[in-house]
Amino acid sequence: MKKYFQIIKGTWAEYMVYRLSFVLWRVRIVMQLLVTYFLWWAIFSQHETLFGYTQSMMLTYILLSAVVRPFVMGTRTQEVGMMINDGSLSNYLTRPINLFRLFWSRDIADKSLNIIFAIGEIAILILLLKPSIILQANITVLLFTFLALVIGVVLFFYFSMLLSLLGFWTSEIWGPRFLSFILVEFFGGMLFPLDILPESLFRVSTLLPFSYFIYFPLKVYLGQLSVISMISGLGVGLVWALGLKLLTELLWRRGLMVYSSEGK
Amino acid sequence: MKAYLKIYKMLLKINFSSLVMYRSNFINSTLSSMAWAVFNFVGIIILTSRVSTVFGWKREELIVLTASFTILTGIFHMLFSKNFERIPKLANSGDLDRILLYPIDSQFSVSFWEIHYSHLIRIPVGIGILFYLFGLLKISITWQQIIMFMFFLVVGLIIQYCIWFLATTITVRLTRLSNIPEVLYSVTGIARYPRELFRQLTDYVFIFLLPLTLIIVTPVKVLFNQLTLSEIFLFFGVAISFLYISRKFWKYSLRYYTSASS
Repeated sequence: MKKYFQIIKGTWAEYMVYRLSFVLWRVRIVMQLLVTYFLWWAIFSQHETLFGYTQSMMLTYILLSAVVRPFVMGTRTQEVGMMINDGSLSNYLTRPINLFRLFWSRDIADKSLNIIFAIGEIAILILLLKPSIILQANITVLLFTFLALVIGVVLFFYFSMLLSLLGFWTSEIWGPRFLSFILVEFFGGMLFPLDILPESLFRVSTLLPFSYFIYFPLKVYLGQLSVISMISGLGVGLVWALGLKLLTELLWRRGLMVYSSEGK
Repeated sequence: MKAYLKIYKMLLKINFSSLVMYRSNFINSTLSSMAWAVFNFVGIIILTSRVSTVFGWKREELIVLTASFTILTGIFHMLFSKNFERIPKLANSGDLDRILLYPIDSQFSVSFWEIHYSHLIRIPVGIGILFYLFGLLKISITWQQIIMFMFFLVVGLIIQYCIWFLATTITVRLTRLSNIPEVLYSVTGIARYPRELFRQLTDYVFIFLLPLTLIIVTPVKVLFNQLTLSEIFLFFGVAISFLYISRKFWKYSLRYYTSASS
């Protein structure tokens, strides 16, 4: 356990070395957030409610998505694909360390640092823009939101790891990752809640695991789901997480059989 | 000039050969590029499905804005963005030495070396949607407007090139800022939204973002006959000054280039 804590500390230190890069990264995120925020703000300036959402519900969704995103999708697992391709994975295989735990530790470091900044940024934006946002006080809803977030984190970890493990069979891992990033961006609910999509597209999105990254936790937080819907949502999410975990572990074992690192 | 055209022709050929060599990578990239373009359209169509105007822009005008952005982004990513991704790596690894030793202009070498044909797909997607929309809405546009639109799009491309070049040139001195291209990918995405959206930000931020907001909005205004003389002056003024400043800044930054381990 101690060694994994050292990895977390090491990852934080790494970010501190590249402070300016990290700040620039955050600037990028704030810019994206502001564009989406003002777009929705303008759309709602003409209507009281749209797509079943009030302005405060939508702005809460957009602002909180900036916090949920680094919590669920902050990851370093994309490095695994590169490690497989350039052979540096061998360095880790010979060490008394579990690669999955190593990357869980790195992800914790990444998530924690990004969340601290995200909360700070959102607080400043709320002070400056003074939007009417929804503060959820229902303990049950908050508990379900927390559980939905945890499932989202687990799901995204294995999903991203799965994409990286494709590196065992192909050196061209950028394409599938970029394609999946586009799908996640759209069907994850980053730009808007998924239930504003046309019925057929919304149905498709609920069949995919991506909705558990942003949409489902925020939908739970907004209190728009019944207890039954929350429980069944968590159940399906859990099945997805378990399925992806088993598939990732299977691919890892199979991948190691075909892995070669020439010249390493 | 003739020599540079000859070199560029050669670069086009070399890059095409690498496309043929890594076919599956090309197919992957093309698919991703197309998906990006399609989802951009779906996104804006959904966002504007229940409103008639956003920041004074009609729904169809916003979709035309997205189509024009798709065309420009397709050209830009095909010709330039991979080169800009390369600049921080070149500066960080010291490989810029080699480029500086070539008997050709260093700005040309760092900006035009790699061509990514996979982004080409966005251009017909954008043009197709543009023509489909004009047909659907029964908007008549003249050949003169189309030529003007294309010309303004090229000027917009120059502004975008200069912004990326200016920003990535910073990495010649500050080599640790290696993620500048990633930030630029997101920041230039704001060009597809109406300028009025950014008026909601403080004046300082708006002025800072102004060049970006001109890139697409100005050519699109040509199509809708909404362009004023002051906007034309502003557009060309920004293009010429950014071209001059980015060139000077590159030359200036090279003076501080220390290479790696030397």
